[in-house]
Amino acid sequence: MIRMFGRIESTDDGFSQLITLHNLIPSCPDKVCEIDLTAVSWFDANMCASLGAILYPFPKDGWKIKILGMKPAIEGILQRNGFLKNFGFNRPKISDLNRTTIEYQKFDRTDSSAFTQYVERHFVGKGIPQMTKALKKEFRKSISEIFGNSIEHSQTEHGIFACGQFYPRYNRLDFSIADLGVGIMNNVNKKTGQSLNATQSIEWAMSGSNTTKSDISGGFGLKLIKDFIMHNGGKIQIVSNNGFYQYHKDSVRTKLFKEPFPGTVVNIEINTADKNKYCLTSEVVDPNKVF
Amino acid sequence: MSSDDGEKVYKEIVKTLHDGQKVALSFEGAEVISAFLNVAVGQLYNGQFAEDFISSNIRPINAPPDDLHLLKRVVERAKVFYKDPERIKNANKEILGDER
Repeated sequence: MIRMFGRIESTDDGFSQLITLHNLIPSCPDKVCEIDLTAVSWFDANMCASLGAILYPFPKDGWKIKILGMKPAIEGILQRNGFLKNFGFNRPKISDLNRTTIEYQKFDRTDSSAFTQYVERHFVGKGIPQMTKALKKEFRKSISEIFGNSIEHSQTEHGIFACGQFYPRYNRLDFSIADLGVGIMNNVNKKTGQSLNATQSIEWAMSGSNTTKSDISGGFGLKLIKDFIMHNGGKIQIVSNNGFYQYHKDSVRTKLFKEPFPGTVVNIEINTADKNKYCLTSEVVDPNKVF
Repeated sequence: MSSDDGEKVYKEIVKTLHDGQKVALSFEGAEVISAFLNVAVGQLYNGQFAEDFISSNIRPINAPPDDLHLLKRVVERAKVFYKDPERIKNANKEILGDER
Protein backbone atom coordinates (compact mmCIF):
# COMPACT_ATOMS: atom_id res chain seq x y z
CA MET A 1 0.00 0.00 0.00
CA ILE A 2 1.19 3.50 -0.81
CA ARG A 3 0.08 6.30 1.49
CA MET A 4 -0.11 9.83 0.22
CA PHE A 5 -0.20 12.87 2.49
CA GLY A 6 -1.31 16.48 2.68
CA ARG A 7 -2.46 18.55 -0.24
CA ILE A 8 -1.88 17.46 -3.82
CA GLU A 9 -2.00 20.74 -5.68
CA SER A 10 -0.80 22.18 -8.98
CA THR A 11 2.58 23.08 -7.51
CA ASP A 12 6.10 21.69 -7.71
CA ASP A 13 5.35 19.86 -4.47
CA GLY A 14 2.15 18.36 -5.89
CA PHE A 15 3.94 17.09 -8.99
CA SER A 16 6.78 15.81 -6.81
CA GLN A 17 4.28 13.70 -4.85
CA LEU A 18 2.93 12.18 -8.04
CA ILE A 19 6.47 11.37 -9.24
CA THR A 20 7.13 9.62 -5.93
CA LEU A 21 3.91 7.64 -6.34
CA HIS A 22 4.98 6.60 -9.84
CA ASN A 23 8.31 5.35 -8.54
CA LEU A 24 6.78 3.44 -5.63
CA ILE A 25 4.16 1.49 -7.58
CA PRO A 26 6.58 -1.13 -9.01
CA SER A 27 7.65 -2.02 -5.47
CA CYS A 28 4.12 -3.15 -4.48
CA PRO A 29 3.86 -6.95 -4.22
CA ASP A 30 1.86 -9.22 -6.54
CA LYS A 31 1.16 -6.47 -9.01
CA VAL A 32 -1.48 -5.02 -6.69
CA CYS A 33 -1.18 -1.39 -5.66
CA GLU A 34 -3.49 0.27 -3.19
CA ILE A 35 -3.15 4.02 -3.06
CA ASP A 36 -4.34 5.26 0.30
CA LEU A 37 -5.57 8.85 0.29
CA THR A 38 -6.77 8.83 3.94
CA ALA A 39 -4.23 11.50 4.86
CA VAL A 40 -4.81 13.60 1.76
CA SER A 41 -6.80 16.69 2.65
CA TRP A 42 -7.07 18.19 -0.84
CA PHE A 43 -6.60 17.05 -4.41
CA ASP A 44 -6.60 19.59 -7.27
CA ALA A 45 -8.96 18.02 -9.80
CA ASN A 46 -6.82 19.05 -12.78
CA MET A 47 -3.99 16.93 -11.32
CA CYS A 48 -6.09 13.95 -12.46
CA ALA A 49 -4.54 14.41 -15.92
CA SER A 50 -1.08 13.75 -14.46
CA LEU A 51 -2.27 11.03 -12.09
CA GLY A 52 -4.25 9.34 -14.87
CA ALA A 53 -1.21 9.39 -17.14
CA ILE A 54 1.02 7.92 -14.44
CA LEU A 55 -1.37 5.09 -13.62
CA TYR A 56 -2.51 4.31 -17.16
CA PRO A 57 0.20 1.81 -18.26
CA PHE A 58 0.06 -0.35 -15.12
CA PRO A 59 -3.30 -2.16 -15.63
CA LYS A 60 -2.24 -2.90 -19.21
CA ASP A 61 0.75 -4.65 -17.71
CA GLY A 62 -1.43 -6.80 -15.44
CA TRP A 63 -1.47 -4.51 -12.40
CA LYS A 64 -4.46 -3.86 -10.19
CA ILE A 65 -4.60 -0.26 -9.01
CA LYS A 66 -7.00 0.66 -6.23
CA ILE A 67 -7.65 4.07 -4.73
CA LEU A 68 -8.73 3.99 -1.08
CA GLY A 69 -9.61 6.28 1.81
CA MET A 70 -10.78 9.33 -0.07
CA LYS A 71 -12.44 12.05 1.95
CA PRO A 72 -16.02 12.68 0.71
CA ALA A 73 -15.07 16.04 -0.80
CA ILE A 74 -12.20 14.52 -2.78
CA GLU A 75 -14.28 11.54 -3.85
CA GLY A 76 -17.02 13.93 -5.02
CA ILE A 77 -14.58 15.91 -7.16
CA LEU A 78 -12.98 12.83 -8.70
CA GLN A 79 -16.38 11.26 -9.33
CA ARG A 80 -17.77 14.42 -10.87
CA ASN A 81 -14.93 14.77 -13.35
CA GLY A 82 -15.18 11.14 -14.39
CA PHE A 83 -11.75 10.11 -13.08
CA LEU A 84 -12.84 7.40 -10.64
CA LYS A 85 -14.82 5.34 -13.13
CA ASN A 86 -11.44 4.42 -14.66
CA PHE A 87 -10.43 2.79 -11.40
CA GLY A 88 -13.34 0.48 -10.67
CA PHE A 89 -15.67 2.97 -9.01
CA ASN A 90 -19.03 2.13 -10.50
CA ARG A 91 -21.03 4.82 -8.81
CA PRO A 92 -23.53 7.06 -10.55
CA LYS A 93 -22.01 10.14 -12.06
CA ILE A 94 -22.56 13.27 -9.99
CA SER A 95 -23.97 16.15 -12.02
CA ASP A 96 -21.73 19.13 -12.46
CA LEU A 97 -24.44 21.55 -11.36
CA ASN A 98 -22.13 24.53 -11.05
CA ARG A 99 -20.39 23.78 -14.34
CA THR A 100 -16.94 23.96 -12.77
CA THR A 101 -15.59 20.69 -14.12
CA ILE A 102 -13.51 20.03 -17.21
CA GLU A 103 -13.93 16.29 -17.28
CA TYR A 104 -11.01 13.87 -17.14
CA GLN A 105 -10.52 12.34 -20.54
CA LYS A 106 -7.95 10.25 -22.33
CA PHE A 107 -7.45 10.89 -26.02
CA ASP A 108 -5.76 8.65 -28.55
CA ARG A 109 -3.17 9.98 -30.97
CA THR A 110 -5.78 10.30 -33.69
CA ASP A 111 -8.38 12.09 -31.54
CA SER A 112 -7.45 15.66 -32.39
CA SER A 113 -10.95 16.59 -33.55
CA ALA A 114 -12.45 15.00 -30.43
CA PHE A 115 -10.03 17.10 -28.37
CA THR A 116 -11.05 20.26 -30.23
CA GLN A 117 -14.71 19.49 -29.47
CA TYR A 118 -13.80 18.82 -25.83
CA VAL A 119 -12.13 22.26 -25.61
CA GLU A 120 -15.11 23.96 -27.27
CA ARG A 121 -17.49 22.19 -24.90
CA HIS A 122 -15.60 22.97 -21.73
CA PHE A 123 -13.95 26.35 -22.29
CA VAL A 124 -17.22 28.23 -21.96
CA GLY A 125 -17.91 30.30 -18.88
CA LYS A 126 -15.90 28.90 -15.96
CA GLY A 127 -14.64 32.37 -15.12
CA ILE A 128 -12.52 32.86 -18.23
CA PRO A 129 -12.11 36.63 -18.77
CA GLN A 130 -14.10 38.20 -21.58
CA MET A 131 -12.47 37.91 -24.99
CA THR A 132 -13.42 39.07 -28.45
CA LYS A 133 -14.77 36.38 -30.76
CA ALA A 134 -11.52 36.33 -32.72
CA LEU A 135 -9.37 35.94 -29.60
CA LYS A 136 -11.67 33.27 -28.18
CA LYS A 137 -11.25 31.31 -31.39
CA GLU A 138 -7.46 31.73 -31.36
CA PHE A 139 -7.27 30.86 -27.67
CA ARG A 140 -9.15 27.60 -28.15
CA LYS A 141 -7.04 26.85 -31.20
CA SER A 142 -3.91 27.33 -29.10
CA ILE A 143 -5.18 24.87 -26.50
CA SER A 144 -5.78 22.38 -29.31
CA GLU A 145 -2.27 23.09 -30.58
CA ILE A 146 -0.86 21.92 -27.25
CA PHE A 147 -2.58 18.62 -27.91
CA GLY A 148 -1.15 18.40 -31.43
CA ASN A 149 2.32 19.27 -30.24
CA SER A 150 2.14 16.74 -27.41
CA ILE A 151 1.25 14.03 -29.90
CA GLU A 152 3.99 15.10 -32.26
CA HIS A 153 6.80 15.65 -29.77
CA SER A 154 6.16 12.99 -27.20
CA GLN A 155 6.08 10.04 -29.61
CA THR A 156 3.80 8.45 -27.03
CA GLU A 157 1.67 5.43 -27.82
CA HIS A 158 -0.40 5.89 -24.67
CA GLY A 159 -2.36 8.95 -25.80
CA ILE A 160 -2.96 12.26 -24.09
CA PHE A 161 -4.64 12.87 -20.73
CA ALA A 162 -6.59 16.05 -20.03
CA CYS A 163 -8.49 17.42 -17.06
CA GLY A 164 -9.37 20.78 -15.60
CA GLN A 165 -11.26 22.52 -12.86
CA PHE A 166 -12.66 25.97 -12.17
CA TYR A 167 -12.06 26.90 -8.52
CA PRO A 168 -14.42 29.86 -8.00
CA ARG A 169 -13.38 30.21 -4.36
CA TYR A 170 -9.74 30.59 -5.34
CA ASN A 171 -10.40 32.59 -8.52
CA ARG A 172 -8.59 30.19 -10.79
CA LEU A 173 -9.21 27.78 -13.63
CA ASP A 174 -6.58 25.09 -14.09
CA PHE A 175 -6.31 22.89 -17.14
CA SER A 176 -3.71 20.16 -17.53
CA ILE A 177 -2.59 18.12 -20.50
CA ALA A 178 -0.26 15.19 -19.80
CA ASP A 179 1.56 12.65 -21.93
CA LEU A 180 3.86 9.71 -21.29
CA GLY A 181 6.35 10.58 -23.99
CA VAL A 182 10.07 11.07 -24.32
CA GLY A 183 10.03 14.50 -22.70
CA ILE A 184 11.20 17.92 -23.83
CA MET A 185 14.87 17.48 -22.86
CA ASN A 186 15.37 14.59 -25.27
CA ASN A 187 13.77 16.49 -28.11
CA VAL A 188 15.68 19.71 -27.55
CA ASN A 189 19.08 18.08 -27.05
CA LYS A 190 18.62 15.77 -30.01
CA LYS A 191 17.63 18.59 -32.32
CA THR A 192 20.12 21.20 -31.15
CA GLY A 193 23.08 19.03 -30.21
CA GLN A 194 23.20 20.70 -26.78
CA SER A 195 23.36 19.04 -23.38
CA LEU A 196 20.75 21.05 -21.54
CA ASN A 197 19.20 19.71 -18.36
CA ALA A 198 15.42 19.31 -18.02
CA THR A 199 14.64 22.85 -16.83
CA GLN A 200 17.05 24.47 -19.30
CA SER A 201 15.36 22.51 -22.09
CA ILE A 202 11.90 23.70 -21.07
CA GLU A 203 13.15 27.29 -20.81
CA TRP A 204 14.75 26.96 -24.24
CA ALA A 205 11.49 25.72 -25.75
CA MET A 206 9.43 28.35 -23.94
CA SER A 207 11.56 31.29 -25.00
CA GLY A 208 9.35 31.70 -28.06
CA SER A 209 12.01 32.39 -30.66
CA ASN A 210 13.49 28.93 -30.28
CA THR A 211 12.05 26.22 -32.42
CA THR A 212 13.29 23.08 -34.05
CA LYS A 213 10.17 23.17 -36.20
CA SER A 214 9.68 19.46 -36.62
CA ASP A 215 9.90 18.74 -32.93
CA ILE A 216 9.47 21.74 -30.69
CA SER A 217 7.43 23.98 -32.88
CA GLY A 218 6.71 27.47 -31.64
CA GLY A 219 7.19 26.61 -27.98
CA PHE A 220 4.29 24.11 -27.71
CA GLY A 221 1.83 26.48 -29.39
CA LEU A 222 1.84 28.40 -26.15
CA LYS A 223 2.81 31.82 -27.48
CA LEU A 224 -0.67 33.30 -27.52
CA ILE A 225 -1.55 31.64 -24.22
CA LYS A 226 1.68 32.91 -22.66
CA ASP A 227 0.89 36.46 -23.83
CA PHE A 228 -2.59 36.18 -22.36
CA ILE A 229 -1.35 34.68 -19.09
CA MET A 230 1.20 37.49 -18.74
CA HIS A 231 -1.60 40.09 -18.75
CA ASN A 232 -4.07 37.91 -16.86
CA GLY A 233 -1.79 37.11 -13.92
CA GLY A 234 -2.25 33.37 -14.30
CA LYS A 235 0.41 30.69 -14.54
CA ILE A 236 1.89 28.24 -16.98
CA GLN A 237 3.53 25.20 -15.45
CA ILE A 238 5.45 22.59 -17.35
CA VAL A 239 6.80 19.37 -15.90
CA SER A 240 8.95 17.25 -18.15
CA ASN A 241 11.60 14.68 -17.30
CA ASN A 242 12.87 15.91 -13.92
CA GLY A 243 12.25 19.58 -14.68
CA PHE A 244 9.61 21.92 -13.26
CA TYR A 245 9.02 25.27 -14.92
CA GLN A 246 6.58 27.95 -13.84
CA TYR A 247 5.79 31.20 -15.63
CA HIS A 248 3.87 33.67 -13.49
CA LYS A 249 3.63 37.45 -13.70
CA ASP A 250 6.42 37.64 -16.29
CA SER A 251 8.89 35.77 -14.12
CA VAL A 252 10.09 32.20 -14.35
CA ARG A 253 10.78 29.75 -11.54
CA THR A 254 12.37 26.39 -12.18
CA LYS A 255 13.23 23.36 -10.10
CA LEU A 256 14.90 20.03 -10.72
CA PHE A 257 13.18 17.03 -9.14
CA LYS A 258 15.24 14.10 -7.88
CA GLU A 259 13.30 11.69 -10.06
CA PRO A 260 11.69 12.27 -13.45
CA PHE A 261 8.04 12.52 -14.37
CA PRO A 262 7.41 9.80 -16.96
CA GLY A 263 6.45 12.29 -19.67
CA THR A 264 5.35 15.90 -19.92
CA VAL A 265 2.58 17.94 -18.30
CA VAL A 266 1.45 21.39 -19.38
CA ASN A 267 -0.78 23.10 -16.84
CA ILE A 268 -2.44 26.40 -17.63
CA GLU A 269 -3.87 28.42 -14.79
CA ILE A 270 -6.17 31.32 -15.58
CA ASN A 271 -6.78 34.05 -13.03
CA THR A 272 -10.57 34.26 -13.02
CA ALA A 273 -10.62 37.37 -10.81
CA ASP A 274 -9.35 39.28 -13.85
CA LYS A 275 -12.19 41.50 -15.08
CA ASN A 276 -10.31 42.91 -18.09
CA LYS A 277 -11.58 42.31 -21.59
CA TYR A 278 -9.10 40.96 -24.11
CA CYS A 279 -8.63 41.14 -27.85
CA LEU A 280 -5.95 40.28 -30.37
CA THR A 281 -3.36 42.99 -31.04
CA SER A 282 -4.59 43.06 -34.62
CA GLU A 283 -8.05 43.98 -33.36
CA VAL A 284 -6.98 47.00 -31.36
CA VAL A 285 -8.95 50.08 -32.42
CA ASP A 286 -7.38 53.46 -31.76
CA PRO A 287 -10.07 55.42 -29.81
CA ASN A 288 -8.73 58.61 -31.39
CA LYS A 289 -9.55 57.31 -34.84
CA VAL A 290 -13.06 56.00 -34.32
CA PHE A 291 -14.99 59.10 -35.43
CA MET B 1 -28.98 50.01 -23.32
CA SER B 2 -31.92 50.58 -25.64
CA SER B 3 -32.49 52.94 -28.56
CA ASP B 4 -34.53 55.12 -26.16
CA ASP B 5 -31.44 55.49 -24.02
CA GLY B 6 -29.58 56.25 -27.25
CA GLU B 7 -31.94 59.14 -27.98
CA LYS B 8 -31.25 60.67 -24.56
CA VAL B 9 -27.49 60.37 -25.07
CA TYR B 10 -27.79 61.76 -28.60
CA LYS B 11 -29.65 64.84 -27.35
CA GLU B 12 -27.05 65.36 -24.63
CA ILE B 13 -24.19 65.11 -27.15
CA VAL B 14 -25.86 67.58 -29.52
CA LYS B 15 -26.52 70.04 -26.71
CA THR B 16 -22.92 69.80 -25.47
CA LEU B 17 -21.51 70.33 -28.97
CA HIS B 18 -23.81 73.31 -29.56
CA ASP B 19 -22.57 74.75 -26.27
CA GLY B 20 -19.07 74.67 -27.80
CA GLN B 21 -17.79 71.93 -25.51
CA LYS B 22 -16.03 68.68 -26.32
CA VAL B 23 -17.67 65.32 -25.54
CA ALA B 24 -16.04 62.41 -23.72
CA LEU B 25 -18.27 59.43 -24.36
CA SER B 26 -17.73 57.03 -21.47
CA PHE B 27 -18.45 53.33 -21.93
CA GLU B 28 -17.68 52.44 -18.36
CA GLY B 29 -20.18 49.93 -16.97
CA ALA B 30 -22.36 50.25 -20.08
CA GLU B 31 -23.71 47.28 -22.04
CA VAL B 32 -23.91 48.85 -25.45
CA ILE B 33 -25.60 47.39 -28.51
CA SER B 34 -25.66 48.65 -32.07
CA ALA B 35 -29.30 49.81 -31.78
CA PHE B 36 -28.21 52.13 -28.98
CA LEU B 37 -25.12 53.42 -30.80
CA ASN B 38 -27.01 53.92 -34.08
CA VAL B 39 -29.28 56.38 -32.31
CA ALA B 40 -26.80 57.91 -29.85
CA VAL B 41 -23.91 58.37 -32.26
CA GLY B 42 -24.96 57.38 -35.79
CA GLN B 43 -27.48 60.22 -36.03
CA LEU B 44 -24.70 62.78 -35.54
CA TYR B 45 -23.77 62.20 -39.18
CA ASN B 46 -27.19 63.33 -40.46
CA GLY B 47 -25.69 66.55 -41.77
CA GLN B 48 -25.97 68.87 -38.80
CA PHE B 49 -22.24 68.54 -38.03
CA ALA B 50 -19.29 68.13 -40.38
CA GLU B 51 -17.40 64.84 -40.07
CA ASP B 52 -14.18 66.70 -39.20
CA PHE B 53 -16.00 68.61 -36.48
CA ILE B 54 -17.31 65.35 -34.95
CA SER B 55 -13.90 63.66 -35.06
CA SER B 56 -12.19 66.56 -33.35
CA ASN B 57 -14.84 67.06 -30.67
CA ILE B 58 -15.88 63.57 -29.51
CA ARG B 59 -13.70 60.89 -27.90
CA PRO B 60 -14.73 57.49 -26.55
CA ILE B 61 -13.26 56.75 -23.12
CA ASN B 62 -13.03 53.54 -21.07
CA ALA B 63 -14.32 51.56 -24.03
CA PRO B 64 -13.42 47.84 -24.10
CA PRO B 65 -12.13 46.48 -27.44
CA ASP B 66 -15.46 44.91 -28.42
CA ASP B 67 -17.34 48.16 -27.86
CA LEU B 68 -14.73 50.17 -29.78
CA HIS B 69 -15.13 47.80 -32.70
CA LEU B 70 -18.88 48.14 -32.58
CA LEU B 71 -18.65 51.92 -32.33
CA LYS B 72 -16.28 52.06 -35.30
CA ARG B 73 -18.66 49.92 -37.37
CA VAL B 74 -21.64 52.08 -36.39
CA VAL B 75 -19.76 55.26 -37.31
CA GLU B 76 -18.63 53.86 -40.67
CA ARG B 77 -22.17 52.71 -41.50
CA ALA B 78 -23.66 56.06 -40.44
CA LYS B 79 -21.21 57.99 -42.63
CA VAL B 80 -22.28 55.94 -45.66
CA PHE B 81 -25.98 55.95 -44.77
CA TYR B 82 -26.37 59.69 -44.25
CA LYS B 83 -24.52 60.53 -47.46
CA ASP B 84 -27.48 59.06 -49.39
CA PRO B 85 -30.13 57.68 -47.04
CA GLU B 86 -32.66 57.03 -49.81
CA ARG B 87 -30.25 54.91 -51.82
CA ILE B 88 -29.41 52.80 -48.72
CA LYS B 89 -33.11 52.42 -47.83
CA ASN B 90 -33.92 51.32 -51.39
CA ALA B 91 -31.00 48.90 -51.42
CA ASN B 92 -32.23 47.38 -48.16
CA LYS B 93 -35.74 47.05 -49.63
CA GLU B 94 -34.31 45.20 -52.61
CA ILE B 95 -32.24 42.85 -50.51
CA LEU B 96 -34.75 42.25 -47.73
CA GLY B 97 -37.90 42.52 -49.85
CA ASP B 98 -39.08 45.09 -47.31
CA GLU B 99 -41.74 47.31 -48.96
CA ARG B 100 -42.91 48.91 -45.77
